[in-house]
Amino acid sequence: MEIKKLFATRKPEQADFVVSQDEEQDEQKVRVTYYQSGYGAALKAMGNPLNFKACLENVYASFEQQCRDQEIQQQKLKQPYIEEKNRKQSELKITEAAISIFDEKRQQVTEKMNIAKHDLENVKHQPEKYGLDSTKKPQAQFYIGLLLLVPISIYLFVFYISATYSAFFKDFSNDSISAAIFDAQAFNKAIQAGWLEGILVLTIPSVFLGLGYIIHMVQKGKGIKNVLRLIALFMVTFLFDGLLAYQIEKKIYEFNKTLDSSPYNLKIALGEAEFWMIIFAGFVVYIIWGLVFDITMKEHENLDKIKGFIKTKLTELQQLEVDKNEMTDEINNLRKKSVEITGKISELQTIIDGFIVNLKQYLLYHNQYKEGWFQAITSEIALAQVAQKKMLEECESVSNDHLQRLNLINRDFQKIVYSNVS
Amino acid sequence: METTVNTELKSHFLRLYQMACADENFDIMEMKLLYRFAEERGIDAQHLNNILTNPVQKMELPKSIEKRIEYLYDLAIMIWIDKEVTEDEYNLLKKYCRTFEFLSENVAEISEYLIDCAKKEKRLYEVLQSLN
Repeated sequence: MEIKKLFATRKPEQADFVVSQDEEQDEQKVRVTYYQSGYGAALKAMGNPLNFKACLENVYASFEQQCRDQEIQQQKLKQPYIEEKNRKQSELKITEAAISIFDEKRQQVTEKMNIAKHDLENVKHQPEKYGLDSTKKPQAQFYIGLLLLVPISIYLFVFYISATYSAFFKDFSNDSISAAIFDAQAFNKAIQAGWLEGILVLTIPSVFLGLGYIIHMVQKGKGIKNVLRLIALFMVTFLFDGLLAYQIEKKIYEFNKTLDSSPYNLKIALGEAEFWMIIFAGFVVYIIWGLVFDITMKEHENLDKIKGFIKTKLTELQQLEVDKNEMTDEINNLRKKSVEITGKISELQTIIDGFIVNLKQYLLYHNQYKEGWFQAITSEIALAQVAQKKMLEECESVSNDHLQRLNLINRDFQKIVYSNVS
Repeated sequence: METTVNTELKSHFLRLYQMACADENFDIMEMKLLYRFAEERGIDAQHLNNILTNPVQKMELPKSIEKRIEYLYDLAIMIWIDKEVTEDEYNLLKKYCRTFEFLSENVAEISEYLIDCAKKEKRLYEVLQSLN
């Protein structure tokens, strides 16, 4: 097949053209008919203006009826309304699709919000579910830890104040030997001896607490270096504690020694119960303090983690709420638009269901009829010049009245729409 | 400056996009071709994105036969860009031939002819010339 022929197209336009040509011819005929009918009617009524009025009304009524009956013509007149309706319908479809999309999105957001709310309620009970490496009820553990930490700290203060005082400054005499390890008056005596001495015994316990804190911080780090550091710290503290115990024990020994007693040395110290009591009451308690401190800090961190999680979730929840509101607004707007479009469509549908009068065409026929009528008066009816002129003027005013009544004078629209078949 | 694009051209890009997706594989080559076609018609990438994300409500047909063939040939090039003609693509092209009001008995032949031209990498003017 020849390629050119291959690309032949359907030509529905041609048929249209033929139809419109036919229509034009018909219209010509109709116009002539109106002229003739005006002419004939004028003859019969002898050009009477009253008759002319009735005739014009009749012409309008029959034209209206004709419009109603002419389906093809109506179809053509209604075409723009049908097109508009189709446009509106597709707009409606798009709007509805948009509504369903937004609705779906809103549902997703609502679901997300529900999940976030559930998370907020659940995180305290099951922190591990949210990737939070936390114990259950960290709050309770934190407060228990704190409750223990405070008295142990006070104890450590009191103990070390006394131990330091005994080791550094105390003179052992008969009456005080029973209070060799713990001296209830240590702080008062130190203050009395001089304020510097008071400050020294008061601040020494802080050194031990400080060491406990350092151990907690070092524990957090990993690696052999940290382990070594930790061991060194423990050893230093132990040595310091041991020295205190050794010193106190020495003073007790010196006080009690007889002539045949051997000189004080480490071996003797290690054999004495007081020495070990000082070690246990100081160093071991100090280690317990460190452990409790460690746990308390850890639980505090867990609390912080959960708090952080809750804060993030709350911010997320707020943002979701904003999103949801925006979407709801959008949906409401779209719904409003959809209602408007539906209204417009039903309005257009009433027009399509009704019928349309082509006023431009009517005016043409009206004028033809009038021309026929006037022509008949001037050419066929024998009247005096003045009477004829008067009759024509009267007929003219009847015609104007008629148009006036139909609101057809100087109008700027071409169609009158009857919304319903009346 | 953004050029104004009429509905007819917008419709064309939507058809091209549809064709690119017809084989269930929106190839990178197809995407590039889509943007090349846009560039050739003075439409920048941003504008093309707008066309694709805000589709026209009612597609419009080109009026002249030459424009219709030009658009169909673009579609044929889009089909052959991945050196493969799937059944879906072929059917879609036939559908567009019918939409463009070519006689339904010629639709298969037109599609084959255009794809053949695309295979031979003919220029548009060569295709149009062969009609005369």
